[in-house]
Amino acid sequence: MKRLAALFLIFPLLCGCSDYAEIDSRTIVSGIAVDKTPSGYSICCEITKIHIGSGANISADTVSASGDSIMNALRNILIISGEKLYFGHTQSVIFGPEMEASDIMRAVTLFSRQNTFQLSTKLFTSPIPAADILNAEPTTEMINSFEIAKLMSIYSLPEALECTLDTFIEDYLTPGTEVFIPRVTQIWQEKEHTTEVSGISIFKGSARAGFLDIKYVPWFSLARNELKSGLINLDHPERGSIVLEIEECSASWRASEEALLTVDLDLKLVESDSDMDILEKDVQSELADLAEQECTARLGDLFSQLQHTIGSDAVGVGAKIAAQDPLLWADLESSWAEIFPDYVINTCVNARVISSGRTTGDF
Amino acid sequence: MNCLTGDFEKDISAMEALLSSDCTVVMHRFEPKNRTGRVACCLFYCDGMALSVNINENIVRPIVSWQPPEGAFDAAVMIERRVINVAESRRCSDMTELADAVLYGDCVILCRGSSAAIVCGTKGFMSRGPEEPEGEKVIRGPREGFTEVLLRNLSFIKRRLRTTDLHIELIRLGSTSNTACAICYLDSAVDRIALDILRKRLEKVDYDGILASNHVAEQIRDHRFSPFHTTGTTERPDVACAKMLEGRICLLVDGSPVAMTLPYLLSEVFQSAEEYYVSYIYASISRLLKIMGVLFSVSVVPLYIAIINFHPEMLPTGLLFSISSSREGVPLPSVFEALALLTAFDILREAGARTPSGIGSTLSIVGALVLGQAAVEARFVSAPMVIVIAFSGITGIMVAKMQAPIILTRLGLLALSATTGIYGFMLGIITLFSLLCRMESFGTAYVSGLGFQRNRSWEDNFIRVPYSLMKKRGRSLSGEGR
Repeated sequence: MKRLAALFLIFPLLCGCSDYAEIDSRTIVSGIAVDKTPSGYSICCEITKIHIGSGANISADTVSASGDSIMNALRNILIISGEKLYFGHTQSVIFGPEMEASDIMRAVTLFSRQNTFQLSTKLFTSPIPAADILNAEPTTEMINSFEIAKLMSIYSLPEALECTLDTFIEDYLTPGTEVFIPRVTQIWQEKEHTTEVSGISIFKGSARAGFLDIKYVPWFSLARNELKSGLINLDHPERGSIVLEIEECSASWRASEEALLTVDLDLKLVESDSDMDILEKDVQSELADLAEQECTARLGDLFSQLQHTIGSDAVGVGAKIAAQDPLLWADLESSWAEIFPDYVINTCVNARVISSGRTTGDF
Repeated sequence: MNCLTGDFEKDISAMEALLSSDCTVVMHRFEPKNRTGRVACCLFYCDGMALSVNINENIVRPIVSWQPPEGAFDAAVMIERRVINVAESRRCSDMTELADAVLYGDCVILCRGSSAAIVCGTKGFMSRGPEEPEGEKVIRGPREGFTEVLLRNLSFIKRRLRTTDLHIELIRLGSTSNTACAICYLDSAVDRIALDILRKRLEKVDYDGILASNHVAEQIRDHRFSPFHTTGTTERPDVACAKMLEGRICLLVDGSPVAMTLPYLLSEVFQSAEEYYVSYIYASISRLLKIMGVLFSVSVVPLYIAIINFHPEMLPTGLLFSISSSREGVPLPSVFEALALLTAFDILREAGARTPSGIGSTLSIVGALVLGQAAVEARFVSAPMVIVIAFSGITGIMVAKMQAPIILTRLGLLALSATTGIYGFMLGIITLFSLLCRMESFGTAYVSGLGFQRNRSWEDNFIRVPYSLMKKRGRSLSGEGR
C-alpha cells in the first residue's frame, strides 16, 4: 500500500502534466507548408479558427515565419501567434520545390519527432512555393489543408496514391525501396485557382530524383500492389474504343537474377463504341488479350521511366529481392543503385473478363 | 441472575419495580371464584403488544372459573398444564427474562406459592402486511416482501424451503434493544467457513441498539471502510431463498424488512430478481447492459476529461472542432465544469428520490431542461459536457446497489485523469482492480466467479444460462456445488 501511495505521488512528476491544455485554448494547425529560401527556411502554418456555436463553425488563417532552420522558423511562428502550436490534427504537409530537391528528410524527421504529430498526416510536394498552395482559397472545404488531404482519400481514383508520414518513414528505412510523395499544383480554372494532383515525386535517398507524370501513377500503384480500382482504355482495330474497369487486381513479384512481375486482373466492361456481345467466350478472350497487351506495355513504360529516366527504385524491386532471396540481396545491396537501371524486369499479365452479363447496349 | 423468591407479594413488588419505567405495562391480580385465597395470580402484560382478547378469553377466564383441587400442589404447574388455553407457554424464574417477555408482547402469570412464573405467548402487536418491495419490483415474479416482524419473515422462508435441511439459529443482539436475529442456511449447501466467521463476528457485536439489519451489517462486514458492499441485502423472500440454495447465509433482524445475505460477491451486484423470472436471453442481455452501464458510468467522464485536455489527437478531427467550438466562452476549466455538473446531477437525483413521485418527475424535468439548457445557453457549461455527465449519471442509476462505489470511483478516476491524463486513468483502473482482487467477503474472494472457472460459476455471472444447464447449487462458493 505504501508503494502504491508512493507511486501515486511521483506519477504526476513522471508523466506529462505539461501536456495539459484546455481544448479551446489549443492552436490547431491543420496544414504546414515548408519552403527553402536563400536565407534559410520559411514555414507557413494554416491555423484553424473555431467560432462559438453549437456545431463545428470553423475557418482558417495562415501564419508565416522564416528562420535559419526549420525549428527556428517554427519557433518564430510561436512568437507571432502567441500560442503553442498543436499538430495533433495536422492534415497535410507540403514541401516546396527547393525542399524536395535537397532537404526533405530534415523536415520529415523533425515533424515525426513531435509527440502530437500523427503518423497519418499526408505529405505532398509542390512545383510552386508550398505557401502558395496553402494560401489558396479552398473550393469545397472550409479549410484548404482538409481539401488537399481529401484529394488523396478518393478511394476509387487510381491517381490518388497517398503518402503518409508513416509510409514515408517505412519506405525510407526499408532497404531496396525509395520513397515517393504525391505532387500537388495549382491550375487556373474558371476564374479561380484550384489545387490538383499532378503526379508523384520520386526520391533517391532524401533528395528528389525525378517526377512521374499522373498517367503513370495507376501503373505505379499496380506495381506496388496498392491499386484498388482503375480503368483500361483499349483501342480495338475493329470494334473501336473499349473501356474496361479493373474490378480486382493483385500483383506479385518473383525476384531472382531477373525479376518477374505477375499481375492478375479481373475486368468488367464499362463502355464500348460497338454493340459487341460480351457473353461470347471469344470476345471475352479477345478483350482479355488486348488488356494484357495494354497492361504489359504500360508497365514497361513505367519501368523504363523509373530505371532509365529517374533511376530510382520507388516500386521496391530491391525489397522484393531481399524478402525472397536474402543471399542474392546481400550481393546486390551495396551496388543496387547502379544495378537497378539495368536490372531485367519481366511482366506477366493474366487478365479475365468477369460480370459479362453487364453490357452497354441502349435501353 | 435475579430469580423469583416464591414469596408472592415480594415477587409482585419486584416485577412492578422492574417494569415501572413502562407505563403501558398492565398488572392484574385475580383468583379463582372457588376456594378463594388458596390460589392467587397476578398477570403482567404490555398494553398494545399483547392480544388482550386472547388474555381475557384463554387465560383469565379459565383461571377464574377453575376449581383448584384439594391438597398440596404447585399452582403454576397446574395452571400451565390444565387451565389456560394457549399454544405457547413455559415456566421461567429469571425476572429479567420475564420482564423481557412482557415487553415483547407475552404475558407473565405469577402464582402464589410458586417460585416460577408462567410465560404465555400472547404477542399481538400491530405490524405492516407483506408488500412488494419498492426497490426490488418485478413484473412476473412474486409480489411478496419481508416485513418488520421476524417470525413472519421466517415463515416466508420456511414456506419456500420446506425441508429439514433448512437450519434457523436464533440469537439476540444489542445490549439495550435485545433484538432477536435469525441465521438461516441450508445445512447441505452452506459455506462452512463463512458460517464460522459469521458466528464469531456476531459474538463480537457490541452495540446497544440494533434497530435495523444495517446496524449489524456494518459491524460484521469485511473491509468496513470500502465503498463496495461485502454484505448483500434483499427485501424479497424468494431472493433470500435463492441465495441460500447457492450456499449463502441469510441473516434476519427483528424490526427490519431487509435480510442480509452473505458472502456477497461482486458478481451479485449485477443480478436482480427480475432476471430469474424472464427468458434467459433477455436476462443475459439485461445483465450485460448493467455491466456496461457501470463501466461507462465510471469511465466516461474521466476519459472525456483526459482526452480533451491531454490527448485530443485521439478524437476524430470533426469531433475535436465540435467540442472545441462548444467550449469557446465557457469560463470554467473542463474538470471543474465536470465536477459542478456531477454534483448538480447527484443533488437532483437525491432530491428526486426523497420527494413524492409526482414532484420527483417534475423536479427531473426542471433539472434536466431548465438547468441544463439554461446553463448551456448562458455558457456556464458546454453542451458535450452535459451530454457526457447525463450519460454517466443515467448509466450509474442502472445498478442501484453500486451507486456509492460508482460516485467515489468516478471522482477518484476524474482526479487522476485531470492531473495525468490517460496514464492516470489507467493507473486508477489497475489500482481499483487490484483492490477488488484483494477484497474478501466472509472468507470468499470478492471477485470470485468472474472468470470462467471449472466450478461453472460463470453460468450465472455475466450471463444467465437456462435453468436446464444449471444442475448444481452452491456454485460460486463451495467449489463444485452439490
